[in-house]
Amino acid sequence: MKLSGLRRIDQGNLIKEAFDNLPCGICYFNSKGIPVLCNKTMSRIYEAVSGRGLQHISDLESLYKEFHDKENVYSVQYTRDICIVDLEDSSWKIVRRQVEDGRNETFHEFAAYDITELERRTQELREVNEKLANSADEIRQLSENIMWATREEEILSLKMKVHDRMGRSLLIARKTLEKDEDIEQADSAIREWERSIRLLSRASDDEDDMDKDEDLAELMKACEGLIDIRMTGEMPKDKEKSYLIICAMRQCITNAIRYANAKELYVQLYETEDDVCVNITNDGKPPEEEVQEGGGLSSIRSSVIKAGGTMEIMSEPRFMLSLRIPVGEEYGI
Amino acid sequence: MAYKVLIVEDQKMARDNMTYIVNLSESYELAGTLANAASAEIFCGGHAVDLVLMDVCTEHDENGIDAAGHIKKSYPSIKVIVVTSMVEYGFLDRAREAGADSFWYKDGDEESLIEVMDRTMAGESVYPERTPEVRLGLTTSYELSDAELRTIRAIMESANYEEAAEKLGCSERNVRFHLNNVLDKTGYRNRFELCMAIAQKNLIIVNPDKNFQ
Repeated sequence: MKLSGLRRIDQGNLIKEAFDNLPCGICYFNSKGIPVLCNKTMSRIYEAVSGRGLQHISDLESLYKEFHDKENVYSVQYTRDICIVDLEDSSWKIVRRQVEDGRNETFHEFAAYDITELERRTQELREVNEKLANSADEIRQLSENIMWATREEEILSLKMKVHDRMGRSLLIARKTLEKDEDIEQADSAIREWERSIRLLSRASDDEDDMDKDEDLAELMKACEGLIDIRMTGEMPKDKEKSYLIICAMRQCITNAIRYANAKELYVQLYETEDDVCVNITNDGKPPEEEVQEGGGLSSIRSSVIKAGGTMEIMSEPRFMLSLRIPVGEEYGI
Repeated sequence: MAYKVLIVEDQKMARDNMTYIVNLSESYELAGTLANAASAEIFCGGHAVDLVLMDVCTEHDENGIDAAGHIKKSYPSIKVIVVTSMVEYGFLDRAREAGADSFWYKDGDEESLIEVMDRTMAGESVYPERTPEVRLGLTTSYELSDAELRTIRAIMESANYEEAAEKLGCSERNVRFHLNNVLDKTGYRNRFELCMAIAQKNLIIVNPDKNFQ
């Protein structure tokens, strides 16, 4: 063999060796799908995915269409020209495209890039973000707990002030009585002491949130002299559902007074097997046109939807707000 | 003739104590009490009310500052004094924006509340100059700028900087800039430590589900 031939063979081997040792995988197929150039890295990747050698373009194209459930492949995710392959010890992003050589012949190129480190760091960031999100939840929870603690501190501070008042009034009463001074002043001091005792004894009553009956009673109290509320049926036992209904009533009361000059509000409550149903209307002037939801009614709608229910508004022949709220597990307990 | 006072306060003892204070002065008499601020506007429509003592955080987390705004809009002649024990820095501005006539911190004594009531009914608007000062690590709340406090609130209410930046309408870089300044001032090591300290001191109350923003 001539020296020039040997040199060409050597150069070819060197190029092949360099090509095989590229850190990425690369493979070219001709227009018939036959591999014309493929490095060892790509061959290894495909063999790890499929358990066999790369022989035709359809072998790699199948990665863009199917999910491979192989033992040594954890996942294959694909879009039109990009495919991600997770192997046991590495991750690869395989990008396909068409290229032309200098003679207008088209080849299909598949290039596989090692994204192992990128995937590892992305996963780490995801975990950090999740912790931060949990931290945000923790901060919210802490804030709620702190609000409760602040309110308890407020009650304690009040009790201490009341104790101080009691102490002062006792001292005044004792001094006045010992020195046989102004009896009225002594009486006033003793009454002050009695007031303080009553205040402290009420403070030791259960400080829990209002129950649903108290919520309704307070709304009725607020409406006295303004509008009469006529209710049929019973409020649901579930406190959240009953408060939602009270919020709807409150909004309807405001609108009935403002727009309809109503004197009476009618609230009909009944249950079906699945839902608590509420119809609210009034004796005032019917709407002249279709009722447009303002901020108040929209807010009620959002709350009802969040509770899994529905809300309807009728404008003819008179205004009616209808709610359906799923019974759920809490009801009846 | 005594001014009629509506007390809106969800805690029984605090409500009774304010009732006691109202009854101390011959200038005032009780029009009623409510635990839930959301019913206050309706109450004012059907009862003679001259003055409302409105707590900020009421039953079912209903916001007293919002209720104050509704009352001032519907019944501008009714005076409203917002009362709270929380040092949340945003409450003063929000109360002003809602149109509340005056503002009183509950750690004051009875005399100071009566004085605020008297001055309010005389036509004055009585607001503390600033939210009470709160120590934060190496500094105090007075050393933090409005922009820094707004940024910290957005961070506390968001899952990440991107969300916080979106809430503020600025860049993430801007968010980190303000955060780093606050960390430098306070000496806290990271945003978590900072946010925990702020939450513990009630300087910022995070309650994204209800309108405390």
